[in-house]
Amino acid sequence: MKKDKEEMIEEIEDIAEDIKDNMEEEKEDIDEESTELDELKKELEEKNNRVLRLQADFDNYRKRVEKEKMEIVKFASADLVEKLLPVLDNFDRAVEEEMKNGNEDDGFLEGVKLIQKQLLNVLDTEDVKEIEAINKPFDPNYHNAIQMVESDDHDSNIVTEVFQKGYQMKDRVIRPSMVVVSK
Amino acid sequence: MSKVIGIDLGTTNSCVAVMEGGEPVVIANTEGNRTTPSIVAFTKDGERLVGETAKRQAVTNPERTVMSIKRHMGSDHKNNINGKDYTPQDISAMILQKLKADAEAYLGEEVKEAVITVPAYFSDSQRQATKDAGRIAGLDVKRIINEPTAAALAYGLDKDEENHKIMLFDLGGGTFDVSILELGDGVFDVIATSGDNHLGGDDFDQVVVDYIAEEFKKEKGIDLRNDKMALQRLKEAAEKAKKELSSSVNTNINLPFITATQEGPQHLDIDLSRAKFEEISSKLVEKTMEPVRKAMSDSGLSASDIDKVILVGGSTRIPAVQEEVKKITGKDPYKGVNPDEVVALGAAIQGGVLSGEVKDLLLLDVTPLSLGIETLGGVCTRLIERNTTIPTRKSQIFSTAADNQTAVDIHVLQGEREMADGNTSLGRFQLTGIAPAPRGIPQIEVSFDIDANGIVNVSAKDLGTGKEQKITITASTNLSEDEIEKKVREAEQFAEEDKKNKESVEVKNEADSLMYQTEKTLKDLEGKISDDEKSAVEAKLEELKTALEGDDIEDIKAKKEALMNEFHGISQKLYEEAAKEQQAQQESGEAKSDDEDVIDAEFDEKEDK
Repeated sequence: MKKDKEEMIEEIEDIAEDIKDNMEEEKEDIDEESTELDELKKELEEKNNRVLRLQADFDNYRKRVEKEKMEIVKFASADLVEKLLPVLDNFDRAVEEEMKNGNEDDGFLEGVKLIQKQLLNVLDTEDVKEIEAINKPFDPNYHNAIQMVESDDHDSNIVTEVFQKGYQMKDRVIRPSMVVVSK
Repeated sequence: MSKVIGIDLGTTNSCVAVMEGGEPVVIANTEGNRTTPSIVAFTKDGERLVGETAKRQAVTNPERTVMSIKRHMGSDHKNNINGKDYTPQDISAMILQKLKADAEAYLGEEVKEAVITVPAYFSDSQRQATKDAGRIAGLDVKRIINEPTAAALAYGLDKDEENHKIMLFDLGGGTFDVSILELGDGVFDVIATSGDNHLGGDDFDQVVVDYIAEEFKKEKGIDLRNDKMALQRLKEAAEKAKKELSSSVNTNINLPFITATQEGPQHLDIDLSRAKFEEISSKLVEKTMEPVRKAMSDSGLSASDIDKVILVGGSTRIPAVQEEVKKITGKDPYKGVNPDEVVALGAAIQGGVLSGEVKDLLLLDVTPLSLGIETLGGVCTRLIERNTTIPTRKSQIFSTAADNQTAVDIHVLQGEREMADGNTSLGRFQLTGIAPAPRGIPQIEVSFDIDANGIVNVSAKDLGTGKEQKITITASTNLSEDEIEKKVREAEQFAEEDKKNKESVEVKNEADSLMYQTEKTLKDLEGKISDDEKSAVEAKLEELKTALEGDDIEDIKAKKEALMNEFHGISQKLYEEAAKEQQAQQESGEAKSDDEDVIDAEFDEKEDK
């Protein structure tokens, strides 16, 4: 009967409305969760990146520390050597003084020279060498110029005098030579 | 992520630092030095030298060597070298380039951004010139900050909440600056500055040189300052003496063969006390107080208005200087950070803030006191040392103390004392079901796991059965800084006593182990040793047992030695017998082969033992 049919259609329409509403609500919920998910994903990615960065930083730091450790071991005695250089200088001065006075044959001088040689041998075992300076071209990487002079006997920019010997340990300059350079 | 380096572009020396894992760190240059002379030079051939090498050739090349360029920043001053004009920015850029290269060598990556410091009194044009210099050097200068601000940052003073007034006392190699800052809302405002452009450590060196030279002149009649080599040695010795007197009250200046007279070689050997040094340098110290007073009057502040004082620059290490500062401001100055590096470190911190690195870093906590468990004899065995950064995890394998022990008691302790009863008990639990075995055989893995919130999880796992037991301890001891310090100090106080206690426990444990081993071995050797030998060992064993019942450690040690020696005697004999037997076997073996092989009298030489 028509009335029943109309009623039925209305009912169905109502149900359809309800379903539509429910679906919309569901969709909203899903959207909300989806946004939350996106935010969490973003946060996770940020945290992941931070972890990776930190890991990389740590790795780099570790590599650098290894390198530094090796350097320290290689030059462990550099400080001590540096402190001994003035002692070596004074040996030079003592010997030079006596030689100046024409006492080359003096037994005591002989003895002092041997002690000097002994000290040099010890330094040699640590790969410490005197820096070549006299009559060589001036090189600020190895020499420290404290005076400049006119010199007819030398070309320009040559070390004419060494005030204090310089020393290097392996490839590191422990103390540059203190020199006088020709103009 | 590229790092923003912090640069202290100084008049005499420069320094560069960078943030590393949340801490500022100074970067050494390729020559291995932590500061670089602010000197640029051009050789005749047009080669460019910066830093130490430039300094070394300055005397041979004065027209092409530029020093203290900072004094000209912001002006029209030009250096004409090899036919080309260089502005102060150009020269500074060369110094910055070297610092940039050194930083890149250290970090192993390209450096594009920097924070550079300038004196608080620098004008706009001087600041702009500094920024330009950075740009020329290939650096994007994220910010120019004031040197006093950088120093305050290095000391963490920006974290102060109230409006503090901070005085910065910067006494370097050649210049002296005083600044007064006010901290407000995390920002530093410069209220007043003063200084002396030609006052520094070099002047202190000079008074020592003059003093020594005068003393020598009085005695020997020669002025060493007229001899270039002697003067050089004097200068070096004076600087060294000055530095030593900052930490000792006396020093000796020893220069053999300093010169020669008719009478022969002359030596210089003078003692210099700190008191004498302070006497000869008193005028210089007084000179530093002038700008301090001026800055205070310019800012309208009195000593009591100044909240904090910071010392910057190598010469602030001189005790007399520190004393004067304290006297005039009434405050104990901040000096913990290396005064030569503090400005660069502060610049690095600012760089870290700008790059977001400092914000990114979670402030990591540390565990304030050591954590461990109680082991045999009431000893505390540490698993995690105090000041370990958390979160962290540490495991160690332990074992049973008695035969057939089927359960272990895990007593978790916190503290620095050697003995368990001296420490705080955080909790205990038991791990049961250990398979019966001789003592020392089972493997129990004890793990400590501290999470980022300071919650401690302790677990014990029997590696044989797989059984595991654990407990969770929340930060039950929320000790204050003071309380923690007190505990650490206590531990130091009782260190001697604790050590003795621990040692005696160890001796007892060792003796116990030895007894156990001996008994076991005696059983194994049934029949191999004579009754006499056996009773000799058993006698020593008894003596040790008796000693262990008492507390005389020396006695226990002695009885332990005796038992070991007795045993050694037997062991030795046993091995000798065994060796003889082996020999006999070999010989009989060889004889046999001899019989069999009549024709071929060749046989391998058997290697003995």
